[in-house]
Amino acid sequence: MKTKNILATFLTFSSLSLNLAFAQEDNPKPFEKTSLSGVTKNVIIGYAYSDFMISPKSDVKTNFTRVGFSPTMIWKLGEKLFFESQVEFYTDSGDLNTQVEYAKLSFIVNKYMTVGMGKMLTPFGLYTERIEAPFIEKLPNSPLGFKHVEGSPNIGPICPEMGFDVRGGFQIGNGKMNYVLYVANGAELNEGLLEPKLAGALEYENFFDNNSKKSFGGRIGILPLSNSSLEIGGSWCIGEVGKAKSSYEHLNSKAYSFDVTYHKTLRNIKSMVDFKAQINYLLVDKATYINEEGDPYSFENKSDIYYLRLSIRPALVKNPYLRRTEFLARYNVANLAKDALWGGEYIRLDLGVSYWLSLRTGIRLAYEVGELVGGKESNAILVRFVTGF
Amino acid sequence: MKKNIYFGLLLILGFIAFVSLPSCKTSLEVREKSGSVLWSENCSRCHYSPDPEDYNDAQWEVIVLHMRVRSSLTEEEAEKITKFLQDSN
Ligand code: HEC
Repeated sequence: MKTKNILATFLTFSSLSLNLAFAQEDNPKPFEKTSLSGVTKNVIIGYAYSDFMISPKSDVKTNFTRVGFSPTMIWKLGEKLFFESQVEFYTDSGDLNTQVEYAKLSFIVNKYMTVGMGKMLTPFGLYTERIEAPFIEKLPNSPLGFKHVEGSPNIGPICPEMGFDVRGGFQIGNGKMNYVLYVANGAELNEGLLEPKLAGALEYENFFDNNSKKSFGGRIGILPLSNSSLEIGGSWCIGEVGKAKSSYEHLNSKAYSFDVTYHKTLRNIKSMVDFKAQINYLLVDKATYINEEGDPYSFENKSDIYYLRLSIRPALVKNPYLRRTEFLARYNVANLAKDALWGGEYIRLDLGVSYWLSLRTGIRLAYEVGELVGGKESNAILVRFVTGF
Repeated sequence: MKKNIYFGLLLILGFIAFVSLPSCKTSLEVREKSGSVLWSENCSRCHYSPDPEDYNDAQWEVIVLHMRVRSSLTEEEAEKITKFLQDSN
């Protein structure tokens, strides 16, 4: 049976390719020149980093924890089409990981609209799409809850998703506005069957959808000042998250986010100031789950995470070393559904210094101090050597 | 579900109304901005912008398109910035 199928497929393909070959001979120029034709240009950019950690309270006190590099390949195919892709290679707890971070083909419809489809950095809030790349994130760690960690709940879309988006930007008066609307596979609910502790948590790494309902989301950004120094954004994403045919199938989720970014050179203090903040809210319909003892329970599935980051670089002072030094502070909070087995409040403060060897190469140092469940304190010193290329 | 869609729409309309209030045309001041001004204002919003010499003309063309879509720059801004980078490398 199997050999028969393979033979049939082979025959179909060979007859197809023969047909194509003949078609080409008959009609050597099958297409008219259109706006999709043109010179193909491509570029490889990307970034590389390596991390070191000192954590006095753990068994291993010093550790070269992680190294990673991400080649980013972009092709511009004529005037209207382009393909962008990024592959990530990194070690995590000693294991080598590889993944396609994004791979998206886009078509420029007109000056106000570009459509794209593939695996994309979810345009929800600012962090995932614009700041997460290690050569952009000025601290050696990510804000609490804003980077996907295997086995921990996602509060809103914080990782790449498979989908389709429409986006664009335009001038309005002295200001500007930009928009993105997207459809994606959306989040997947952890029913807690395999991991009772994670029952009710969402994970957005749902690359092969668990149901036929897609999630709908978007972001609207406004830059009210003519020098583009301030951007305020609002995002939303709604969708069903349960597995098809399960009792959770119609469980709905709603995520909202607000973000602010402000960057400006303030001549009176001879410095560049950069402020970024984002808050994500996530609400999932109430449902009943089974705990580790086999008892049913339910809880208000409402969580939020936020961070505020301020950085100052005295870029206009005379001292060449000080000019390259950036001082950073970030306050992170995660309020996870109170009565969930994964719930609780976490607070972390990150204080850092970044020394810029060039505009895209830096050595970063941060002291992070946090409060874990039960009031236990954790602290660590993180070092990152990073470059964009 | 329906309520959320209405809320989303309301949010979009609210934003549009808010930004449209001052005026609906591109003001002269903004329209006359040079490529170098636009580059310094826009290309360091997310990261420090690399030097124009770091890439060649064809590479800048592709990179600025990538950035235009990523950060929803306007077409005019992207064109002026590409030209500035290509003239200065
Ligand atoms: C909205 C945020 C944002 C803005 C504004 C922005 N970029 Fe980027 N830029 C990024 C991100 C995010 C990356 C990381 C690459 C990726 O993930 O594809 C990047 C990467 C780059 C790279 C690759 C460098 C490297 O070291 O990997 C270059 C060059 C670059 N940007 C130039 C520009 C220029 C020129 C402009 C102005 C037209 C600009 N950027 C505006 C977000 C932005």
